[in-house]
Amino acid sequence: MAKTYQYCVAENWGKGFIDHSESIRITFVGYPGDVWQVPAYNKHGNLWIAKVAGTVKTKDEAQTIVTAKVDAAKTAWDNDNVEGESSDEKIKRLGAKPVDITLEE
Amino acid sequence: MSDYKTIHGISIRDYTTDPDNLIEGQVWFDKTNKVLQYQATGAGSWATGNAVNAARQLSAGGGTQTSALMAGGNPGSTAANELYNGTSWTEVNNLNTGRHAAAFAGADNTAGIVFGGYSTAYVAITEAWDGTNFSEVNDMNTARTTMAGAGTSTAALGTGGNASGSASAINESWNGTSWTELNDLNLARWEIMGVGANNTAAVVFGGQSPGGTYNNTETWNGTSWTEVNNLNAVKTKGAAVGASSTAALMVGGNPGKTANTESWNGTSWTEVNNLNTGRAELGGAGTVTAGLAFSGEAPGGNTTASEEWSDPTLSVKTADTD
Repeated sequence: MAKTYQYCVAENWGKGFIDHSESIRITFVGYPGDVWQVPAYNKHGNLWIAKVAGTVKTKDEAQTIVTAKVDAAKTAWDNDNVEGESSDEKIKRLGAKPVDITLEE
Repeated sequence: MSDYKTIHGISIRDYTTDPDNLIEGQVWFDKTNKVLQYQATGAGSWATGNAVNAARQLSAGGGTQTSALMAGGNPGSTAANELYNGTSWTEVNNLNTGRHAAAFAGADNTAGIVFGGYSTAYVAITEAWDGTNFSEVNDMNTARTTMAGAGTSTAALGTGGNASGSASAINESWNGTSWTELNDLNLARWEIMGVGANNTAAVVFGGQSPGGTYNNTETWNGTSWTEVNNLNAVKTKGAAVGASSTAALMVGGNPGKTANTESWNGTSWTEVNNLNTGRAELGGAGTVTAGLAFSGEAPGGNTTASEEWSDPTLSVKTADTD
């Protein structure tokens, strides 16, 4: 089955990382771990990956990176406790516990 | 066969990269990719902006794309406060009372108010920002979180929200000195978004209550709220961008820490281009032509990322494929 998306790792440096021209041409999805999803077999997507010096990853490699970041965030959330605090109070203080993310092919 | 120079009187230049200082209609040949390119006006879009210093969710924020403020938020019901000047975010003087889920009203980052929120309890505290410091001013009548904040430092609205665990329809108006309760919303809800020019013209949208999640939109004429056309999808915990009751963006939010963006023209909502990084509980500032979205809770945790909205967008297009 032909893949729909391709993945790369690239650090978002802010202005100019994704410009308006690219944003109009390409549907980007940013994930934890500096993982970016762009359309597969797409000239503009390929040009953008080259521009940001992205390291192309397979879906499984990208999934491993994202899962590791989410797991680390979950662990940090679990370990951040205040004595006597209820679960509702913890959510008010920290926000909800991060949830798993599944990347698409 | 006629060529470009015969028709237009000028030749097409070639470049190895996009030329600087492009103007609408400019045409050039991209030697690197061997394609003809041109500069054209396109639909609105989000581009990455420079990151905030500390990732936060449920901060109070607003202003413009080049003069924005982000105060408070989680984790930790922080008192931290950052200003954006169109290029970078800078840590400045803190709130006096750290809190999350407060609301902001203000035209830019030189004058505004932060009101309500949750510290160690629901608070009605209002603090006025003068561009340098926060000072405490008169409290709201009802302590609430996740209200819609609209208007300016001297003419603001605080509408809806969570009043100590109950979805609220309460609507309070700020005149620069004190809060006065006015007519309620038609639909009580928290995690509601809204914008407006002042305390006599505003629009609020989305939100939720124990009874459900909403796409309802209501407009305020200074006296009462009127139900108008709904968002295309239910939304909570998103960012409102805009400075008028007739022009707004609903950005991101839940369900799903979405990247979805909708645009309000005073009559109806239209789906427009999405954020590059989906998120909820983010901050918003600016207008429907020059907006800003910042920080918030992305899938996997809080993000420092900011994005800048421009509509219309001058963008580079390729003659054979775009």
